[in-house]
Amino acid sequence: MILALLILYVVTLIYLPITERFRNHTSLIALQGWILLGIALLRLHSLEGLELAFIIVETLVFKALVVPAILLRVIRKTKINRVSGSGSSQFNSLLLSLCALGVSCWIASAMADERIDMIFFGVALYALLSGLVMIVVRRRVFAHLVGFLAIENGVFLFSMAIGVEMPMMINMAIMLDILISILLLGIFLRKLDNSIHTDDADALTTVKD
Amino acid sequence: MLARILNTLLMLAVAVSITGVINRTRAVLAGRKGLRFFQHLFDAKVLLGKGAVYSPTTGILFRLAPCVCLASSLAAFLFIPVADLDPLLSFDGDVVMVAYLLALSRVSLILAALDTGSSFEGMGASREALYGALIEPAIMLSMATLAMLSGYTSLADIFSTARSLDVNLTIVVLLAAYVFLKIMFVEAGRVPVDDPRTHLELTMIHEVMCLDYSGIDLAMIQIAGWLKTAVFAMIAADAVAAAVCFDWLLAAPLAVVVAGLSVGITESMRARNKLSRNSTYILTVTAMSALIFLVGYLLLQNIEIV
Repeated sequence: MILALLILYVVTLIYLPITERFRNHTSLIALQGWILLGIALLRLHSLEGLELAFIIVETLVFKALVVPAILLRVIRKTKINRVSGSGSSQFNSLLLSLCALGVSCWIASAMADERIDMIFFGVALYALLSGLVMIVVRRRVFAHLVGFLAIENGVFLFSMAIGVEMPMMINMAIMLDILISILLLGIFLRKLDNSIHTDDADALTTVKD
Repeated sequence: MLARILNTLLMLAVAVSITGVINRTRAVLAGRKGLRFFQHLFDAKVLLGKGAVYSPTTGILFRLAPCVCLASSLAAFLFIPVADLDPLLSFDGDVVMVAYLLALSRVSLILAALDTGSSFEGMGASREALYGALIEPAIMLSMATLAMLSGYTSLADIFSTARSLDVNLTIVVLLAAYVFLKIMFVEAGRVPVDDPRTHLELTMIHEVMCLDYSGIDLAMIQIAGWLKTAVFAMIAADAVAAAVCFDWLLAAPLAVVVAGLSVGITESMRARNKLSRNSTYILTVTAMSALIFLVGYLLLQNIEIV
């Protein structure tokens, strides 16, 4: 069951770079949240009741509900609906993402060890790399944010790989969730749109005191 | 020998039935009476009875291409088993042979299209070459996944031994079936990659390469298309049967129903892609096949998931 969820998670990562509409990006991030919830339920059932409940509630509230809701609000408020450029840009992103998948798998198999769950590690690494691809290839700030969320979900997934032995790692990943939510609220809803009126990350280089 | 003959007959039945199911599905979903189930066979019979007309600008490549296309598709077709039945042709490493035969079929049509000197056909040939280059890694990776999981390199052996799969490998095999179905859409030139019903040469891919063909040559190309569709539909059905219930009684109808319904429903429900999005769509199929290959590889390394 966990393998099916992990494969579904990787499929969302494959579709992330080729998606054009930000609403679909949001749906994919929300789907990742639900998948991570499922993995957490299956993976961490041996944890103590309160700790497990905290992780489950946090995953459900932040990853599956709050962050997607904030993203949708940002889309409505800024009226930015699509990534800039299409066609070849998506193709190149997907090509890079495919390379990232190969590299992640190669590193995971090269580090194969009985003590570490390498499929979790490989998928988490792929999530980090595909988030980086999103940030590097895309121009709009919203897409960068989606890339950052993909990276953050990867970190959370990796923390779950060792979460049974080190529950504190999951708590730290949760702190990262909360930081991202505050970043979304603070920068996008309050500051960026009011001050700069742009959605292009390149335009931020012209910002002065 | 009886099993081999039964296998070939079943494959032929699958090849001629898929187009009928597609046509009937589209007609039912559109609320039309639609064509007869075997109308495409009657059309092919009419074409086979006619001679061919050749443009004076074409050469030997153009005349040879339909024969090469049909012969290579038929040869690939004869390697495909229906579940546990033995195919007519089989040897170690035939998975690579099948992929090359299908590539030969595509190359012959591309060369013929270029031979006409028509700008439209040149455009179609260029698109077909690009999509072929993008989809062939998906074919090879999916075949390699099945070969890796079973430990054999012959399609007959792969599907005669893929019976004791655990849950994780079953998921991988089912995903491989899904990828083969997607490959079938691309190879058969179906919506969303291409639209066989389109009348605008500028947006055609496969059809534009056949514009100068008529009569018996056109019939051979159409029959080759049915055979190629049956090849991928049957491999997908074999993979599903290997994961669920390994019996030719299930695999043969499954190939017809799944391929026919999926193509028919897709063609009724959505428009084709913009041409600029096709390469991304096909690369996504390749990415999916890379994913199943890598997951299969990691599973075979005995990396367990708790």
